[in-house]
Amino acid sequence: MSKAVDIYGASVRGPRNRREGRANQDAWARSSGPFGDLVAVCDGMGSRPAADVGARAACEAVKKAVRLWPGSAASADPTHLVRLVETLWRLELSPRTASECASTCAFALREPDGHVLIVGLGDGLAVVRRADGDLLTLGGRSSESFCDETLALGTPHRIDDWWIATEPPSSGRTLVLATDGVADDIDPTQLAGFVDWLANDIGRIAPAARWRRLQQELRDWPVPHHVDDKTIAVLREAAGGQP
Amino acid sequence: MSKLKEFTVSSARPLPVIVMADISGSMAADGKIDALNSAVAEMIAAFAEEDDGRAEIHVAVATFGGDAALHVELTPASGVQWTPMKANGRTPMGAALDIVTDLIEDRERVPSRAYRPTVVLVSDGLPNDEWRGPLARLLGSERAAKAQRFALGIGADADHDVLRAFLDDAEGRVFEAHEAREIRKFFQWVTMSVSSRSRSAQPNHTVDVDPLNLDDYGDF
Repeated sequence: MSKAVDIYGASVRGPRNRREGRANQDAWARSSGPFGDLVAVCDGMGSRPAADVGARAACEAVKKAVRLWPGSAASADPTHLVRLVETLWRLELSPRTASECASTCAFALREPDGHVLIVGLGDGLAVVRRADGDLLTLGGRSSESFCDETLALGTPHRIDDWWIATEPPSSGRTLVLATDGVADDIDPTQLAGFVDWLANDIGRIAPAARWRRLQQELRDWPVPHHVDDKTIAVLREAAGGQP
Repeated sequence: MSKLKEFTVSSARPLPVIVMADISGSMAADGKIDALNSAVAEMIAAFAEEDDGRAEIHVAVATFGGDAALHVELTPASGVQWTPMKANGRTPMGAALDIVTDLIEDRERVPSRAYRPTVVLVSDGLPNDEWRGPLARLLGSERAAKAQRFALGIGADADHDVLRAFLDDAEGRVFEAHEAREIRKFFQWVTMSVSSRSRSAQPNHTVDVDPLNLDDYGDF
């Protein structure tokens, strides 16, 4: 991991899967290497029999895809990266079918030159808090849908259903990815405060204790009757920390 | 206390149930309006006591009799102050369909974190306003078209073609109430169906509560 970047996150089973003895159907991953720093969150669709497999496979597919991709600094088209993820995900699943493993997928790649590529399919949420306080939001619940309706790997979709954004090199940014179990319950007017809490309160805790604290926060989720698995992943740049 | 409470919404995911009630003058006959009032009130009371679900059941009642209006604004069932409906005037179902479409399309009143709404249409006659356009608008809308829809025809004069068009489902069934007590029976079935959804692992999915076995749940 670049010294200019800190990546952390946590994922917990929701009350529904705990009660029914099922695995966490969310997954998250981080990875660092010559390609830069990567963070991903994926949410297997609860109605599919191998949703947990699909979510973990999506994280693995993203990790493999970024190693193959030449990077936006080389002017590569991000849709090629998306196609790689789609193909590698299917290979990861084999012999299971895509349909039984459907999963949303959201990830952010901070390239060595400081470009950040933010990509997703489905109702996962990505938020970038820039150093000047501006907030960029991608994904989340579409306005025409109700909860539990989402596009995903393994459901019919087109390449342009993926949301893609590129942030130019900068520093002091915080990027948060969250599955819908978290994103749907965040008050939109409090989104900036939520990101700042993750960056400034949670982010300052030592790594081992931080993971436990974040797990506990997700388990003690304060919204009545919540049921979903919950996953948050954070990529935080140091202020003035351009490589 | 966790700071997260400052950033999260304070309410459970809503599961909206919208009743479209015909309260035209003809509903005053044969105790129909009284039966409808007590059946809807009983349903709301049952939803208000539903505390082990994955959702908070919200209820709205749109009426059409003389005018079309929202008799009960979309509210958590536990907060509904029920006042009986009064039968009066003609049957402006088209205007009521517009009210329901506008309600479901309003992201403030029915947020995207809500479960798919249920809309229950109850009528004992023929619409006397332009209803085809409003129905086409509902069925062609982004969100209202996704609502789970139930229909009850009361008595021999109910227009089953209209009710079938509302369901817009070749396998959908228009329920029939030939006497007032069957109105209550229908709403008991709606209550069972919605409560089952609320408690299910996937509240957006329809839960099969076999209407042919409704007598199992009734008290007569």
